[in-house]
Amino acid sequence: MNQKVLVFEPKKCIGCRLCEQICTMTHFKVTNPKKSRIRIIRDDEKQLDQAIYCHFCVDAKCIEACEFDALSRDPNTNAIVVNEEDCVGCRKCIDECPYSHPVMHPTEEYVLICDLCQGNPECVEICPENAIQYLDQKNNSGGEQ
Amino acid sequence: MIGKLLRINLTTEECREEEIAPEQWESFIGGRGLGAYYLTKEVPPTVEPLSPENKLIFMNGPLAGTLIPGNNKICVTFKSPLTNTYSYSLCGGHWGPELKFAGYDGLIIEGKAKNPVYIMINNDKVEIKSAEILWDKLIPESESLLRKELGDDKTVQIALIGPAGEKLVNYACITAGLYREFGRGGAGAVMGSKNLKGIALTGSNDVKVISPEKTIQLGQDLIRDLRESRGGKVRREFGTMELVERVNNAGFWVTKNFTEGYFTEGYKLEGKKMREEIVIGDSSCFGCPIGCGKRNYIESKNGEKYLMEGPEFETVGMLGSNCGISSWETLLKASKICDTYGFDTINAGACVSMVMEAFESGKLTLEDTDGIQMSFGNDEALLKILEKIGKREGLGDILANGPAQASKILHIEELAIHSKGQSFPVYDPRGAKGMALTYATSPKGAHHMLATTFGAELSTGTRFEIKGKGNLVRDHQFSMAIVDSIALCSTMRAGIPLENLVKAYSTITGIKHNVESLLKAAERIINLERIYNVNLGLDRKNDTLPKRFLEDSLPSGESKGQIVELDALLDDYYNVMSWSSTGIPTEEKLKELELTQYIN
Repeated sequence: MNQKVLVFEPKKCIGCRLCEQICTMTHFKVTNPKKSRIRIIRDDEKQLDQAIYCHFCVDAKCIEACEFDALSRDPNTNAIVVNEEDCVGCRKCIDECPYSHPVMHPTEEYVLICDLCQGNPECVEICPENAIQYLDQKNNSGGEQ
Repeated sequence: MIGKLLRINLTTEECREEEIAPEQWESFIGGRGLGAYYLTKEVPPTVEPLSPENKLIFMNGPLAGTLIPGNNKICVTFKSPLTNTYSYSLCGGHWGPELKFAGYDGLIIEGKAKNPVYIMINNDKVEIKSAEILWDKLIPESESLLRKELGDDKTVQIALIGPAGEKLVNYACITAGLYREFGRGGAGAVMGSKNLKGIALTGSNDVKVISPEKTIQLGQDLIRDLRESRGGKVRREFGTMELVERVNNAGFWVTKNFTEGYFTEGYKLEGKKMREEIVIGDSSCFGCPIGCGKRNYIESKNGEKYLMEGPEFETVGMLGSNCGISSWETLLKASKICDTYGFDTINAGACVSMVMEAFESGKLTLEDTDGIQMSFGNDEALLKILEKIGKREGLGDILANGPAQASKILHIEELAIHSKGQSFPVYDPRGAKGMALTYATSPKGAHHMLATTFGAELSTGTRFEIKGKGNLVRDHQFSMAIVDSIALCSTMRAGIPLENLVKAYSTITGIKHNVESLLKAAERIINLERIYNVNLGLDRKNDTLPKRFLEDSLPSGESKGQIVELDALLDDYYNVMSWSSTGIPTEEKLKELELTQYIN
């Protein structure tokens, strides 16, 4: 089955961070960038906004690294699922991720990893510039995956 | 939800949290309104602006950090060293929302540190730390050093002053995130006088709303409305530079120190030219779908590269047409000097053009100008003198006082274009009479954002008329007081009518306001700002404009022959405001607004 992935194009991103806000509104019913599963980092010198987001690696190092079997793959969306009960917040997945994506929940002892909103990523919906898109992996020819 | 403020005293190094009472939110909305309340309550008019008794009162709006678009403005209220009056300034970017995520709606800085310090706020952990290694450094260098000291955490939002603030340039800014400023009135000098170099913020507090579902729906609707609005689309494409064509072609764009209203080379600086020639990307403040900030890049003939956000319309006018300059390369370099030293491009441009006019008319000579050929259109002269202002060297040291004080020292008072000490921005008020009233009656001196009436005046074909301008200015002032107090970016007006703003306010806060009650709060805010200045002894005589605008008509262009009939405008405005003929709010009005306790 062809999988869909998030594709981010920094050149399109204007750094409004609406993606961070809708992410936490959807998951926690509050806004709080520190709880967002997508994070926009502005580099004023380079005049560029970069996203830190899950790349859904085929050989997911985060799953491999977890000694508590707290991470698994959602068979429908291919997203990495965090079992919040099993996660102890050891941060090994954070260290192993080549994209520095997982982030500790600011007040709880578990990590936050993008769950693709069960296949309808809200960040993609709200992005006013289509800087983040949800595309078929096979047909994806542009952007930085 | 809304509630807390953090108070930091730099003299005693005490920090404490306080509640902002619900009734104050209701009476003063937030942002600019709450700033008026706290300044009036805590900083008596007799306080010297650069003394430890002055305060920097930072106030977020009630929608800060929520999904409502454009909720990124934060207001700082203070007594201004430039005007010696009431003052406030709003800054966009990401700093204000981060204060909210740190858990605070407001931050009050008082006292004075013994040595240079910066403040680090990480939720409820507040530290006052030495800034010795940051002092004397330009803003980008200070930012980078401080970020390194804070563990290179890119989510920390930093506001800083540059050397201009440290050296008390009267129109120094506070700069947040390198390219967003608390720009006008000299908040940066007040911060410098407190030995405070910067305020760094990070936070992980939830921003809660009454109804998450309704907020998501409303946020999405407003984002769509903004993106689809005509005004939103134009701002998206050209940023504030979209205004050049309209204002210049109508003959009221500042040109050569307001000796003319049409810049013949203005076509080179129009928004579409900027887009074609130097824009490489677009940039937004927090939570804004418009992206009116323009990322510009040029490579100079000698291979120097400039990559930056901006300049904006006001900067291009004041440093460009106002100084007879139309080169993007010069304007980017000039803007960068102001940004890195940290001072207001508007007042700086006014000081430079004042000297240029004096130099061309022989009132100042090379001896007075440190040997610089201060002629209109001299690009190198502009860059040299701006650098001198930042360093407070020679003539730059005099110009650092602002147009009013500098003109006295240089004996060229008739050439200083200001009201209450604050330089005019780019709109020549002879070409849109509402703007004349806006400049004259602003509590912080000539400033366009109190009531930007020119758009309405242009579209209705009434810009030269006097009749009805009292009402027009009052209505715009009320509307801006609401926007500034809810602390949304003024650009949001392009797609969010007042009714929807009220809906957003009530949905988020649960406070039951309607259009009428918010307008009443706006009136209360404007009257309280007025009272602060009345308590200083200001009245009608201070609501004035330079003689040039009252007696000399514009010599050419689409506003040719116009002067400002200020007395008639003031009579009309005071009348609609229920103020006396000398510009003092009447007792009945103050009683109606529950403000009687504030007037001396």
